[in-house]
Amino acid sequence: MASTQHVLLSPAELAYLHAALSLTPPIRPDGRAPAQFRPLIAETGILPGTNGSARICFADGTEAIVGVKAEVERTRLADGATAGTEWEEGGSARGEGEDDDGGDKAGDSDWVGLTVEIPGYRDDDAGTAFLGAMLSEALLADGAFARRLWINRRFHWKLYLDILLISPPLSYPLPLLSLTTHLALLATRLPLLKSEGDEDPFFDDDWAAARHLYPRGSGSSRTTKESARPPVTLLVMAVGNNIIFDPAKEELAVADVALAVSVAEDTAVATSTAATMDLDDAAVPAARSLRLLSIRTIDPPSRLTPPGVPNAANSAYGATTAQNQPEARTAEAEAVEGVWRAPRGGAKPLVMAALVQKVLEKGGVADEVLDALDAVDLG
Amino acid sequence: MSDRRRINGPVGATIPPASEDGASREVAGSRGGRSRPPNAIRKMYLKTGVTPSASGSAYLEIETSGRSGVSGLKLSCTVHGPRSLPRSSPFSPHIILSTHVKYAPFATRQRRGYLRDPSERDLGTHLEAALRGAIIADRWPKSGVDIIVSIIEGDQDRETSKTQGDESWDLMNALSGCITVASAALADAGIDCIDTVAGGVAALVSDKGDGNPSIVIDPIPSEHDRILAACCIAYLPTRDEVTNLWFKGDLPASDAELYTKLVEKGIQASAKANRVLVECLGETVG
Amino acid sequence: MAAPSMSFPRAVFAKLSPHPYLLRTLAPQPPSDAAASRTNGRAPHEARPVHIHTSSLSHAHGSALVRTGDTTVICGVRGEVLPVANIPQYRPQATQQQQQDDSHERADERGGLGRGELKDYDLLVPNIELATGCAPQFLPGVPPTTLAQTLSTRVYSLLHSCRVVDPKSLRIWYTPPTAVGDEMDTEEQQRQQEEADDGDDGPQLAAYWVLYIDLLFVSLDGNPFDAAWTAVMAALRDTKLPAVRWDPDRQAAVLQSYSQPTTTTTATAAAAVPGQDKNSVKTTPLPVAGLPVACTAAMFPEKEHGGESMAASAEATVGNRHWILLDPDRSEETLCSETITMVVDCSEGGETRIKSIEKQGGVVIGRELIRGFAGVAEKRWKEVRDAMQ
Repeated sequence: MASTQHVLLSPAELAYLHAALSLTPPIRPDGRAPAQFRPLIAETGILPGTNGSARICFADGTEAIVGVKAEVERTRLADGATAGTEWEEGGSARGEGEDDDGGDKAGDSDWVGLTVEIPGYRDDDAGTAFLGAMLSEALLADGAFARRLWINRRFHWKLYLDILLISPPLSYPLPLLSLTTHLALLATRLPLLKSEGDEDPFFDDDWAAARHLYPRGSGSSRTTKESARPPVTLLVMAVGNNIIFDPAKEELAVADVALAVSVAEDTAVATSTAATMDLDDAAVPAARSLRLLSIRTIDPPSRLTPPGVPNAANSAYGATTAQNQPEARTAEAEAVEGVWRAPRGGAKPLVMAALVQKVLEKGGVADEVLDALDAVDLG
Repeated sequence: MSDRRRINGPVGATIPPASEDGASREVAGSRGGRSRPPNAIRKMYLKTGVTPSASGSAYLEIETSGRSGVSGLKLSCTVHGPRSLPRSSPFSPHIILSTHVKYAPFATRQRRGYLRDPSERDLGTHLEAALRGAIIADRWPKSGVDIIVSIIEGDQDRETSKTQGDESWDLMNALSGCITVASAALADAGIDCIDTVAGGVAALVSDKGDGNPSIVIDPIPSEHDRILAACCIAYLPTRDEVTNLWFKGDLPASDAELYTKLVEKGIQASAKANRVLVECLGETVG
Repeated sequence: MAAPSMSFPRAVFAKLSPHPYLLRTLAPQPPSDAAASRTNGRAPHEARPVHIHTSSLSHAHGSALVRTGDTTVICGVRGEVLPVANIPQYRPQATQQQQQDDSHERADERGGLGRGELKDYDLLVPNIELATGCAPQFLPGVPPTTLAQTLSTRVYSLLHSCRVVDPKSLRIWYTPPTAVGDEMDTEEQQRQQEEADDGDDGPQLAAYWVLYIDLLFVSLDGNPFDAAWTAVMAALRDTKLPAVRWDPDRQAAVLQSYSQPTTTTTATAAAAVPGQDKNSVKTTPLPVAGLPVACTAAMFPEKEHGGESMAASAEATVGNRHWILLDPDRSEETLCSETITMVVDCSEGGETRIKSIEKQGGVVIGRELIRGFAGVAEKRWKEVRDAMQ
């Protein structure tokens, strides 16, 4: 797994990095601020054969491409039979309470197929499956994504998201893949439906008439649960008392704890605040109201790093070799200042809570990232 | 897909019998809410040493809610190791954990195949993260340990015809069971750990009766109408540290209280499970 | 110089030189008057006691957990519906004839058409999963080992040859309703009934039940086949298939609950269990014919053979003692290369019927031994039968 790939740093380097990152304020190897992201290059519409596509390059050379394709599929009932002309009112409980239109519009999480490809790893590798699960979890967490794919009672769109990491996995690829997916979904367009009711669907041939999956400028018909933007997953780590965003490979190798947090924007609240803000000061952008979708701990590669040997135990520095081996092995050596030891145990709950708070605070990192992605031209 | 090495069924697709929708509605109505208080976990039965040929093994059974058709959780875990790594693998100063989680074909409402699917690999990764924090890895250089969990029965209600939605919350319950049983098996195998890990699940549910969502621990998805969010926590009680946190759901970021409360409850659930685990290990391993 | 005396604890001896260790316990030297026994304390003709628990799984239609010593197996039987439309090589003619032949008792001798359905349409699907870490050599991540494949195939062929499951009980019929209106006079009704009797509108075979028999080994300590077969039999006897009716609109079989009247059921009569919940599904127990029980023994030679030719080993057997070890455990299995498995059924009228004899791995076991072994298998049958009740 990319996160557990052995980082070729010696114990001395690791101890140095850890000490530097534990200072207040932390000194990062490339001199960034703790919440500063590296510059990235983003473009959309690079694959003409897809419904939507995007490509993002990070400053450390990692690059990812996401292509989204949509196909019309016949809706299946729960028992595996295809939906006949009579639709029995079954379906999941999710969308029942909130739908005003007749009929059950609740979708199925099967309507989204997500595959992640990392060069050098099989697609059924545990790490790849973890990444895929995290990304699709964030997408389907609000339970309403599949509603966008509904055509009529008998048909729906099946969306295939293919996420490819083009460069070798030099660092943990999760934030890169998530941002690229976000952009690609924003750029995805579905052909305009021309048929009516429950008949076999047919669409407008004019691609210019195709409407976006996530339309810009939310209309009033959206329910509060649907966010008008796809989710974004951020990687955040903690060293000592410091919280660090967008960690590079070396920084991740000394992390005490690393979390992947998925957030999405809640537009219904955002538009109402925007309305009130317009009266006061049009120049100030409305702060986004975020929704927390999922959190997973990432096993940092710091646990697989080799430990350093303190001078007292190092025979090259005059330590006595008459020590009995079994005792030395089981005796818990105290942590010597400046000597690297892989972290043990987990993270204190308070530290984790602080991490999550930092991600979610208004005007914080998540807002910045979403703002930056907003500015990308969708072509 | 036909597997050459197994006996495959008929070429045509087989489907499980469908249920009448009328019947399922009645069942839903008579579901009844949760019978336990919101802060109580279900009774667990834990036994170690079920596979004598393995280095360590454990069997966990979590009771059903008492109604017919709702199953509990039955897990069996075997630990093989520490064993030497194959010669081709590079030197590793720490023990190499490899976890495998597999649902038995008869474990869930929908029959699962023999090949591992991504959700099982996902569970395996979570389990590895949870256990890695507990094992003292640098005592065993150049070694590997295999932890294999077989889920004999998943936590699912057989009669609900509502297939989607419940599956993903069941995975959380399964994960917390996996963590607890793997921890017991590790202790049975004699691998050094700094503390015993146990898994706990807390969920934010909303029932039709009262409008406000409430937080319950050790939820059974079929007992509640809607699950808004849930989290699964692997917790080390003596060090007060969390080795794995998996949160899923939809919470407004402005209401940070809700999230912290959910995590707190998850830690409580995990601490309760840990007490049972320690009691059982005290009897068998000594 | 006096040679240092070496004494090991028994466990170490067993690991260092298992063959002489077992030989010494089976044939104690004259000074010792201990009875011949194996390293695990059993007599050579003593099998481990069997413990069977059924109905432990709630998502399976039938289940059993079998424990013989340290070998633990869980078997779950799951039924799924295979619509006839999904069978590529379906032949309706054969089944129509059989429906008429149901009353005749010729099925046993002929055995042809009945067995044909089970085998042709793959209605029984047994599978054995060993990669659960049950023993150190069975770890997941690899495709099924030779042992797992052989066991699955043996269970499969034994299931079909013993004919314990009757294909009649796996058929799902469908009778298209005849339209009867109030305005119709009796003549029309009679005509319609005549048309109906033509056989076209009679009960049609709409689908079959397919039984997925999955075995999971929790722990393996020798003799997997016996335990697996016992688990299969116990699970099949415990299986209760839900009563279903075929719905032509949905092209699927639909469960019937007690609150609904039955229109068409499977060929066997539905058993109404008193005290059942009003909304729960009606189930019918699967009829299982007979109780075949497997009994395995391994042959332990005095001298360890090491890849000799047939002629050489034939000579070697003359002065070589052998012991038959019933229900071998893992350490004994590694020392023995020859095994014999016999499947007997004593449930039909008290007489013993041998359903299968399999012998492989060597030349020692001959006709007399096999004949004698039948008696041992009979005793084992009684033990297992008692455990199943």
